[in-house]
Amino acid sequence: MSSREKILGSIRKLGIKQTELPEVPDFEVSKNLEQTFTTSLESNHVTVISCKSEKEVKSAIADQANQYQVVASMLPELYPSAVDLASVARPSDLQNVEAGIIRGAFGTAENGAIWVPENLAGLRALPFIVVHLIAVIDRKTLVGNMHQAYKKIEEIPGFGVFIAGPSKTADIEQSLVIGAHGPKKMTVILI
Amino acid sequence: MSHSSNTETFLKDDKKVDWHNETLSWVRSKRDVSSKQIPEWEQLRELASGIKDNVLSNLASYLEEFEKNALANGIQVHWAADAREHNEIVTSILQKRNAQKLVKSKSILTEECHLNEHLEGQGFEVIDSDLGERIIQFVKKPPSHIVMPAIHLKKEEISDIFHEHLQTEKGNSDPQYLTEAARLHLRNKFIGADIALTGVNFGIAETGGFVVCTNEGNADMGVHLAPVHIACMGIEKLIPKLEHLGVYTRLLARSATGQPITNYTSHFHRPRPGQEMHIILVDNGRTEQLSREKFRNSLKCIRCGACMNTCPIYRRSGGYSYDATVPGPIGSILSPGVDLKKHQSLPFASTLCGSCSDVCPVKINIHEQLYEWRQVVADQRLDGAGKRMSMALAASVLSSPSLYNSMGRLARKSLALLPKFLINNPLNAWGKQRDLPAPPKDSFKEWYAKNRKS
Repeated sequence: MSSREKILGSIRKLGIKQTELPEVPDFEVSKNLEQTFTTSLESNHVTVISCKSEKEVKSAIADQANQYQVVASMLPELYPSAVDLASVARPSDLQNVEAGIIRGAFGTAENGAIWVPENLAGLRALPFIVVHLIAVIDRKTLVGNMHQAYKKIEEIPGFGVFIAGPSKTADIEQSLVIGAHGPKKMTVILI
Repeated sequence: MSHSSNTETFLKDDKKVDWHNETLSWVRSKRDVSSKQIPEWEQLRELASGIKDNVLSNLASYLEEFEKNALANGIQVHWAADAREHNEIVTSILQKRNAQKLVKSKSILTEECHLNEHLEGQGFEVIDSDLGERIIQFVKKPPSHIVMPAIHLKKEEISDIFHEHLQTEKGNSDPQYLTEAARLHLRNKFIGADIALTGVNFGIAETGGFVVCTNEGNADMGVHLAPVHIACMGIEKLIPKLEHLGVYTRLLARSATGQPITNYTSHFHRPRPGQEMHIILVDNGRTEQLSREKFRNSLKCIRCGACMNTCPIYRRSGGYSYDATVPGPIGSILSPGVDLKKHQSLPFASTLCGSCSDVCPVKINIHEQLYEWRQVVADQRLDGAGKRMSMALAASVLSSPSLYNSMGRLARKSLALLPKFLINNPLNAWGKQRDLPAPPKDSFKEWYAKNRKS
């Protein structure tokens, strides 16, 4: 007998009476999504820049990205990309990319989590391997909590990630250090 | 070795015990602040518990559903009845790919299966990439806490370890400096890895995908660079639907460290083009625990570690005193199910104060199960002849009013006369840090008879 059959068989043999799956109700969310979203991110060491126009977004990104030599941009209409992501042979070739510019699909106010499906990341490794991650979020996309967030994901990507801040660790005496493996800095630009 | 004798090593350093106690207590208080920001917190716990009840009552069907959908997503699914089979599956994938180097993110399941030792024994390079895990891997030790693996070490000790293994400056114990050194060291390991292995926080039956949560981004660094991703998952990690992640992602990080969510909550459903993705579904004693009605819901655990941070015993005895893969209160109800004889002292490593059950995000009745396990230990006569004799003696005294009264009188007289060394001597564990109170002149019964009878 295969282990699969053995495991499934020994579970079924128990004849446990099935309990009902509870319904998750709608919970109240913040009345000011943008403010809550901004506070959540800022308390997690993310710089938030609020913009009113595309022109402002462009100059905000330029302010952040100009200091770097190698910038991978998924938003060439806002900032030029020095890396042609489509022609990257191996993801580890991204190791010298200093900054990455991506769009987030939406943001979650209660914890600052930004949904990044793989098509917006360009390559799965990009949001993790860069030193500075710059994410552009449309303020109209903000949702209140994680229940609303999961409802908003209609198509499940091969890979998708909620990003709430830069890579961090507190494994040495619980002292917070930003930049454990991935980004040492994260900027969110709201439009 | 029992929990109490293992504890002696940890207790030798008073200052460190205080630091350990206060640091974990601080993490617990961050959890309190964070959970109170959510008005529906108690309702979320109730939901999280109820959803897991449904999973455990219908586990076989959910596993089949998960398998079917994962296969359709292009993920290869393996089943392992025990640790040995799990380790062999990992080895066979490594061999098939002609792989030498493996990077791992945190997986308590692979600790449970002793995967590292198994692979290293066969000559493979295994690198733990979570900073805390890498630290203890250098000194060949297991994690002492499931969320903060190196919480038992002071930064000066870590500085020494890094000086030896990463050639950092001697005596430089700045966490920022040490983390940067680990970052550079591990960056090379990520880039050179043939295979990346992760644990699984949640498997989703409905979609055939799984979720991995980290703050460091180390799981993602590994799997997005390596040509093969192996995910190891205990069969109890399933949830029915994607929408249920809304409940668990709100509870997990707030319970663990007090943050509103982990910085990276990664959802894997299909391998990237050219990549191989494997998932290993592991039983290793879980179906047996499922069969024990009183202990069944210990399988609801989402491994947040909140019960450890709040436990007055864990905080003052350290993770190693439990000598089990999962230490602390939850480990003390899981481990006896795996090896009752070895872990018979763990259900007693508790004051039964119930704080663990109060903070558990999936509402496991941990302290009640600790008490249940004590009864199992006693029924199977594993608790030692001394304890059994004293319990039998106590039972005979407590069941006879006349014997109880006369023993009480004798004790009140003799305790005052007994020399102190009878209590405070090396043979009497109770007397190590305690003194007896002065005995009262009368029992309550005698006092009542004198004062209240009019």
